[in-house]
Amino acid sequence: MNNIISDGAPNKENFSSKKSYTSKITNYADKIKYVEGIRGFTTRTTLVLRYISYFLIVIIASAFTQALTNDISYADGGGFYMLLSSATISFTGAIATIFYANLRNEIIHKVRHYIFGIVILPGSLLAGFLNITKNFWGDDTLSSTLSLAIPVIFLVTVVLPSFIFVKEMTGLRSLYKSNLDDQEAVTLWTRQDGLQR
Amino acid sequence: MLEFGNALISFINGFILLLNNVFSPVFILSFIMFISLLWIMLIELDELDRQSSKPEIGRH
Repeated sequence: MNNIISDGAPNKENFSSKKSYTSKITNYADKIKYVEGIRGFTTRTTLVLRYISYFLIVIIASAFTQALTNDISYADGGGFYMLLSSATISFTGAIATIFYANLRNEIIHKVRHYIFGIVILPGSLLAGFLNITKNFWGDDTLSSTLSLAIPVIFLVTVVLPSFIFVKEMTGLRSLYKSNLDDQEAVTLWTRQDGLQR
Repeated sequence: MLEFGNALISFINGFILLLNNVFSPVFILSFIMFISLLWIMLIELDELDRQSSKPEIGRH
């Protein structure tokens, strides 16, 4: 190491990897252990397990929704739409991380929010509600209106977010484009905006 | 010859059954989601790796 101004903190030079496959993997594990200790392995294992559980949660929630919305008019087969929606959102997000590499962390957060916060959990709850109120409605006008309205809410909760997500991802470039004019931007970047006082 | 033909036909039938099951919409959607989540997971692992060592800055 001829790095004169090194402060002793490890960098990638300490772990050069022009070696065989096995030593690459060993090197990777060594690097994790050297820099982060055993905690490095647990962090990564937790991450992998978290993603496995994401996948299983989507499958299980879709299966439950499919069972709960069985034979309910205008919401029949809701679980399949839930799976379709989740697959669309995750696929679009994965493609978007390739094209917008600088925004990939935000895109991942957004994918998680859309799948679990908007589609899976509220959709499953609505499916349960639909199933409970299945035999509740009578023949009066209010009942027929409500029994038609709740499947529409289900549709809006489960199906529409995937379209909105695709629109959001395809519009990212213009969404993150600055609305400032040049002079405003330069004054902000050079901190001549008066905000520093 | 007949036995050979029967075996061939049962083999083809099994293959078609497999195709019917594998290329069902649910399986395809699950597969797409699996691959996408795998890619997103690899990105997060990469981010963890980037945080574990200091960035390489060339000498000025």
